[in-house]
Amino acid sequence: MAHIELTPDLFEREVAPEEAAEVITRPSLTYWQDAWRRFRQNKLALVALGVLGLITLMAIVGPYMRPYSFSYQDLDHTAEPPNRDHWFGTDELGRDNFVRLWMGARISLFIGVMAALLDMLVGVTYGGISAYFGGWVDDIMQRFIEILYAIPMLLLMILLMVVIGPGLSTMILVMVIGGWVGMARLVRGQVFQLKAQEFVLAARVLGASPWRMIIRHLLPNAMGPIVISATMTIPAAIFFEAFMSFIGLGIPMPLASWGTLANTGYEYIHLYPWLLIFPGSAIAITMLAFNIVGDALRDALDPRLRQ
Amino acid sequence: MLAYTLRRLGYMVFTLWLIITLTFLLMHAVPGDPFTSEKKVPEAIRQNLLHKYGLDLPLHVQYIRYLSNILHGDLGISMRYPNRTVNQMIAQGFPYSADVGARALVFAISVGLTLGVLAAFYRDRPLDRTAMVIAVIGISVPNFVVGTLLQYLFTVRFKLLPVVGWGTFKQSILPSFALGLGTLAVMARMMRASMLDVLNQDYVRTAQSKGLSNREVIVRHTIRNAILPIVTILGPLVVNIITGTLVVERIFGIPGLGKHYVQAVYNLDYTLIMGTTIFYAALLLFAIFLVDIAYGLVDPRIRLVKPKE
Repeated sequence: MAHIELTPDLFEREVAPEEAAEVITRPSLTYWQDAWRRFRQNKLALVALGVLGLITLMAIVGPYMRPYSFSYQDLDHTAEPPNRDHWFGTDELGRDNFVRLWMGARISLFIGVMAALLDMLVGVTYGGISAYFGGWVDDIMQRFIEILYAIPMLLLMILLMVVIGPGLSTMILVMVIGGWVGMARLVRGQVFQLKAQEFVLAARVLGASPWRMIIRHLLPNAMGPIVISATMTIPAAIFFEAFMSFIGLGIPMPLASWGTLANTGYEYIHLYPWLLIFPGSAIAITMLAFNIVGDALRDALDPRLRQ
Repeated sequence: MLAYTLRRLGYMVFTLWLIITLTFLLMHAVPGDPFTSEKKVPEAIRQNLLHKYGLDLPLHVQYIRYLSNILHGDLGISMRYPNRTVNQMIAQGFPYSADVGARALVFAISVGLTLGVLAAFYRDRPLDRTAMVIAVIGISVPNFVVGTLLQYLFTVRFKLLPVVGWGTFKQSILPSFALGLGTLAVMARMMRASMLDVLNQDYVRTAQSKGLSNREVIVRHTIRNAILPIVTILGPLVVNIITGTLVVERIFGIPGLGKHYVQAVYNLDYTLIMGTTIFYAALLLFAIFLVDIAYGLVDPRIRLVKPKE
């Protein structure tokens, strides 16, 4: 190997531009602003978000766009395919499918959102308390969760529906009973991780009360995974509602959810396929949109998971 | 390993007992008795009916009776069809359900894993995109919509396959597909993520840099390690398949347990629902038990971890 003489003139001194290092080139962003910035880059997710917005809007105004009520039976016009008067056709009792689809959207979305919110409320409270206090409190609360976790919730949920009787509030209640455990475990894990960090110690040294610690310091920092999980709960709840309707435990007539509509559609598939196609597509599109938004949220809120 | 297995077995038995107790309590929480909704029957006949089903006994006696019956493998008598026992229904229906479930599982696992591996290998290329579109559709479209539409397209419109029934291979294609699609999608997504994770590991780079062919790296070093996390979701997947059979059997007219179960729900046949639920729960817990054991076998770290964390 050739020998290279190292002389001082080979080196150039880099002067650290002290002022330049101090200049902030980008505006400082909060966690949520930063997440939104990343979310926006995902075009597909923006489209999905738009679709969800549109579905929500239609759920609000859709039933008023046509001059029919969702339970009005026009027995002269039963089972009509989509036409000018009935955009999505009519069902076997002459009810307008367009109006019923958007009434169904109200109920399906309501079930989904309520289930997600209540899951969050119960799960966050339980998981937060369990993790914050730790020790024997945590031990007892976790044993309870472990027992619940081992029970196949879906079977229990079907059983509960049978026992309490079908209905909108039963449906939501049963979903929360089956769903909060996952959320509680998630929150507990998050809070445990955060508890070990310095800012928590600092807050405690400054004399923050347990309540303030949980609300102001721990939960906001655990919010990312909680939001992702809640977003994923909504399509799962819509799916569950449809499944329940299909096995005969849906919400009672004449109310319509997407699940009950699809169930009617299934019964008439060989005669009037449009009765399944519209609610079936509505469920599929909504689930698809929620899944895409959920995935994008995961990428946006937790950059570490990104590959 | 023995201690680990025994501990898992203990958990399984405990959970099963808990479920049996819960179902028992739930069913007795229903106001009235199963015969209040029927048309008026003379009080004496009602008492006779209650006596026949042992419903006139104190609750704890009923409970002990129920438990001991289950221990003897007797799940009770249907309340709507008094000449049929729950055991008969399970014996008659379960083979069909197991058959369609097994076919769907084989289909879902083989195709799902293959798609996942290919998608990871051809990451961000058209094949990957196609596979992930299939996966997202599989997750988003409810199985009864898939099943009904497939049935409509392939049997009514194009008359390629038989509409309903069970027995021939042709009849099994659509149900297996409809039942397996969701699982397939989950499998493909998990496998892709897991493969990508492993492909970034140092030992894969080592394997590549010592000159192994791509094929060898994938088959011998990547898939083996990437498949481990998949084992953990086998439990939830069995739940998927079981609940799926409820739907698919109804659509395709398969005389399986799922169809009986849905029928029982329609009829509010409490004893039948209870018995079937316990059977499903036992099946599921056993599946999870097997998965736990399998996981303990392939990954020794699992066995060493204390049950607490």
